[in-house]
Amino acid sequence: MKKEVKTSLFNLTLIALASLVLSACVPSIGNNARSRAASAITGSANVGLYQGRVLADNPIILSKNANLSDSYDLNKLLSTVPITTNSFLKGNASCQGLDYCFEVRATKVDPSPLQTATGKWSYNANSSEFLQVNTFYHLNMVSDLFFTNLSHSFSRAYLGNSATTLYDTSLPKSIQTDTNVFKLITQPLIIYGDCNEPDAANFNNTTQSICLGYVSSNPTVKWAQDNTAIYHETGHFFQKLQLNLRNPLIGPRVNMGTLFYDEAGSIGEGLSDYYSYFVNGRTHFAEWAAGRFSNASRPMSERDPAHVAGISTDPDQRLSYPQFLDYNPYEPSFPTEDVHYSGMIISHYLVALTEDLEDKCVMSRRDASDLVIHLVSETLAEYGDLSSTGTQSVSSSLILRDKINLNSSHSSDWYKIVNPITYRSFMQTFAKNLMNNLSNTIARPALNRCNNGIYTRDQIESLIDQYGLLLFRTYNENRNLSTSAGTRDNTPVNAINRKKSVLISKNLLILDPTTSASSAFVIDTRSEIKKAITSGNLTLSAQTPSDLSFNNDNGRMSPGEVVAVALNLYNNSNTPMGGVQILANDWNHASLDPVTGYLKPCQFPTSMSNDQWPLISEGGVPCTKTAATASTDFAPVCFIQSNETTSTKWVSQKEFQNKMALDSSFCLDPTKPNECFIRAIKGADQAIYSRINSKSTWGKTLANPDTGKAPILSGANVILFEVSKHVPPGTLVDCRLRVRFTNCEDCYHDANPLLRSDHVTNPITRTDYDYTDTDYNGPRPFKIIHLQIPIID
Amino acid sequence: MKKILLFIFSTFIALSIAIYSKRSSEVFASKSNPTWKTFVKNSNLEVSGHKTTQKELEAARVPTPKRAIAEENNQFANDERISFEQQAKIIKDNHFLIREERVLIGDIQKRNYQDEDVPLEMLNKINPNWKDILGHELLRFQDDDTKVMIKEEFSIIQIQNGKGRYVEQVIVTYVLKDGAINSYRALVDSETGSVTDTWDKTISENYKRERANLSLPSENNSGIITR
Repeated sequence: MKKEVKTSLFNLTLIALASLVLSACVPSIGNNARSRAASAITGSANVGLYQGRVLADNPIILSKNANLSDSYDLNKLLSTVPITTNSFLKGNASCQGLDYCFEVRATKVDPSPLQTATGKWSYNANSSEFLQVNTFYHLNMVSDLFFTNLSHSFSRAYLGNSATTLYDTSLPKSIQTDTNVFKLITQPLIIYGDCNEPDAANFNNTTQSICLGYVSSNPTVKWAQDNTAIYHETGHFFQKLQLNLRNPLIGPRVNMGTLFYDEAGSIGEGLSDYYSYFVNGRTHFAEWAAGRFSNASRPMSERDPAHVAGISTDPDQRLSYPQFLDYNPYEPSFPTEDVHYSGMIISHYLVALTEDLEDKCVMSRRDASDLVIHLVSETLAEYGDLSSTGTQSVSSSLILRDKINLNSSHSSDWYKIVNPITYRSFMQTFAKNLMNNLSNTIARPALNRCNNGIYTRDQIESLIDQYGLLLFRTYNENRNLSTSAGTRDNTPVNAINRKKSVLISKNLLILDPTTSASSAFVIDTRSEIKKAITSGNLTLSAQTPSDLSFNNDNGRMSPGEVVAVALNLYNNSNTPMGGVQILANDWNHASLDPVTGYLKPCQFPTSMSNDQWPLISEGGVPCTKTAATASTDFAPVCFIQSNETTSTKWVSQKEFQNKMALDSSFCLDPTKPNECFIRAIKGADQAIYSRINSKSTWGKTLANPDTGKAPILSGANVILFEVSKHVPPGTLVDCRLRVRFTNCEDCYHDANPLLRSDHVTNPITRTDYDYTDTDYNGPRPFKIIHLQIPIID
Repeated sequence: MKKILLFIFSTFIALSIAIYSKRSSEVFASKSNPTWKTFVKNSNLEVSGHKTTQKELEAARVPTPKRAIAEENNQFANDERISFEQQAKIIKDNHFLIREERVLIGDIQKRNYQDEDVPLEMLNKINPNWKDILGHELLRFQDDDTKVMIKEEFSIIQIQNGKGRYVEQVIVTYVLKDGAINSYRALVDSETGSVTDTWDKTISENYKRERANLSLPSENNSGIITR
C-alpha cells in the first residue's frame, strides 16, 4: 500500500512536471487581447458574422449635442457595420495591391492586432477593444478612398496602363508593377487605438505608427472615439507616401516641414484636416477629441460658426494669407504661431475649391474631392522629388533632370531650406495641376474633367486670390531648371485676377528702425541652448563641451559658446508679410582665389544685389554670376576681420586660421577649415517668423494683446551658432545672412531678366519666370543682412 | 534510488525549461535584432552600450508583432526589425544599384557606378566603430539616464558631385528619463559617425507639444552691428 501510494505520488509528480514543462512552452496569454475580450464583448448576438459596432461619426455629431458630457454612455450611439472577414484587425485588399498595409492594435506594447474567435467585432463602447475596432473601421474607410484615388490617378496619367503619359505627371510609372499594384511601402501602418498617452494624437514617421491617446483633462475621452482624428492622422501617412512617390525606398526621404514652425508643416496640417472632409464631407475637424474639452478643433469653411464675425465666404472675407496665419478661432485676439492654426488657410481653400468644382463643373462632392486629392498627389510628388526630375515628360526624349530641388547632390538642402514648400510654391504647383486637369482643353481635351465646359484659368486664379495666395506670376511649367535646354513657355497669371494677394518688395523687410531698438539678440543661457540642441537633434563640434560650460548667460557671443541669434526684423510696408525666412546655410558668396587657395568674399554688382560688402580694398572680389556645382560654390556665411599691416580685410576662416598658425585639428571641424572658428549649426541654420504685421516687428505682431508682452521664441525663430574656444577674444566676425518672405514681389520671379549680366537664353521670354534653383544659391532672390559680431571674452 | 534520481533529473529539466521560457523573449530579442544597439548616458564622462533588450524595445514602443502574423503575410510586417534577408529582398525587388555590397544613392545617373571598374573617388573610409561613435555623440548633450537606441537599416554609398561617401542609414530612437520617446531616421558618415541628414521625425497633433523655449535677454548688450 505504502509502495502504491509512493508510486501514485511519483506519477502525479511526473504529470505535474510534464504539465509545467508543457505550460512553459506556451506563451502567457495574461495580457493577450483575446483574453480580455470576453468581458468586453457586448451584444455580439446582435451583429452578424464579420460585423461590429462603431461610432459612425464622432459623439458630438451623432448625439447632436455640442455639450455632450464625457460620462455619456457611448453605447447608445453605436451602429452595426461590416468590419473585416480577417480574424485579426489588419488590412485587407483595400490598398490596391498591398494586401497588408495596415493593422490596429491597442497599445504600443501589444504584440499583435486584436483577434476575434467568433468572427464578430462587437464590444462595449468603453472598452479598449471597441477603440481598436472603431479605429480599424474608419482607417479602412479612409485608406480605401485614398488608394482607390491613387489608382485612378495613375489610370488618368497613363490612360489606363499605357507606358507613356499625356501630360507632365509627377506620378512615376515605375512604382506601378502592374495595374493597380503599387510598390509604395515596406512596412504596414500601425495604429494604436488605445495607446494610453495623455493628449497624444501623433504620427511616428519612423515606426510608421499612429498613437491615439486620451484627453488628459477628461481621460474617458479618447482620440479614437473621434473618426475625424483617425482620418487626420492617417492623412499624415498619406502625405508621406505622396511626397515620396518619386523617391527610392532607401536613402533620404522628405516630410512636410522640418522645424517646429514652417509653412510646409502648416500645409501638411491643413491637408490632413482636408482628409477628414474627404471622407465625410463635414467642414469641421475633431469636435469631440480636440474641440469639446480642449478648444482645439478646427473649422474648414468660413461658414463655420466657430469663426469670428467678419469671416465669411464672401470673396473679401475669406480666411486669407497672411492675415490669418496665426488665427485661433477659440482665442482670436491672441495670435498663436502654430502649424495647426496656420494650416487652416489651405484647408479652407481646398474645401472652397471642392465646392466651386461641384458648382461650376457639375461634379458630385465625391468626384470633386477625389480630383482635389489627385491634384495634391501630383503636387507633393513633384515637390518631394530628391532625384530632381519632378515630372515624367510627355516625350521620353524630353525628360529633364535638375528641374526641381537643384540636383540630386543637393536636393535635400534645397527641399528643406533653399527652396522649400511654402504657401506660394505649393499653390503655384497646385494651380499648374489644376490647369492641366481642368483648363487645358485645347491641347489635351482628354484630360478635361470639368463636366460643364472648362474650369477657366480666371476661375482658378480668382479663388486662389480670394485666399491671398495668388503670389506667383506664372504657372512655372519649367520649374526651376537652371538650363534653357528643352524648356517651353510658362503660362502667365492674369494680373487682373490679383486683387487680394499683395506682393511686397524685399527691400521693405528691414531691421527695426525704432530708436534704441535692438536689431539682433544673442541668447546664451545654458539650459535653453541645451534644450534647443537636444530638441533639434543637432550635431556639434567635438570641442564643444557637453555641459556647455563656456555659455555664461551674458547675452554676448564668447569663445566656446553655442548661442541663439534672433533678428529683430521690421515690416516697413503697409501689408502683412508671411513666411519670413532667414537663411544661414552655405551659399555662393565667395570666390576661390586660384593663387592662394583661399575663398574671398564676393562683392556683387548692383544688378545682382543691393549688398556691396566688402569693398575691394577690404578684401572683396567682384563676382558677377551665381553657380551651384563645385564645392567651392557653397561658402559658409561667416568671414573674419583680419588686421593687416596697412589695413583691415575680411578673410575666410581658413585664411584667418593660417594667419594665426592654428593647427587645423583645433578647428570646429578639422575637415572644414572655412568654418574653423564660428559656424551656423546645420539643422538650425534657418529661422522662420510666421507673420510680421505692417509697420511692426514679429515680437509686436505676436505680442499678448493684453499685456504687450513679447512671445517666447521657439527653436524655429532663431539661428544657432557654434563658436570655437580657440577664436581670439576681440575678433570681429561678419555673417552674411539672406532673408525673404513668402508674399515677396522680387524674391521668386525675375521681373526683368534683361538687366541680368549673367543670364540667359531668350531673356525677354523669361520675364516673370521663377528664379532658377541655381539663382537661389546666390544673392539675387534675397535681401542681404549682415551680422557683425564681436567675440567678447 | 533509480526512481529518485529520475525524479531529480525530471525536476531539473522541467525547471530549466520553465526558467528558459521566461527568459526567452529577451534572448529572442537579441537574436532576432542583431542590429539594434542601446547606449545609455550614465554621466557626462560615461556612456555604456549594449545589445538592445526586448524591454527596451517595448519602452521605446517599437512594434513587435506576433511572428506568426508577420509570417502569414508576405510583407515586411515586422518592420522595425527588418532582417538582413528582408533588406536584401527590398534591394533586389527595387532594382537598386549596388557597389561594394552597398546601395548607391544620389547623383548616380551620370556613370555606371555599379561597375566597379568605373573609378569613384571616395571621400571617407569605413570605420567599424561608427555606431559607437554615433551613440556617444547622440548622447553628448542629453541628460543623465537618457538612452538612445540605434539600428542600422542599410549600408550606402552616397554620390555627390561625382564623389562617393560611405554612409549608413539608421533609425535613432531616444528614450528620455521621463519615458518620452523621440525618433527619426538619419544618414551617418561611416567613418566619423557624424549625422549628415535626418528625416522622419514624429508629427504631433498636440498643440501644446514640447518646444524649445528661448527667452530674449531683458537688456541687449550683444554688441552685434547689423546692416
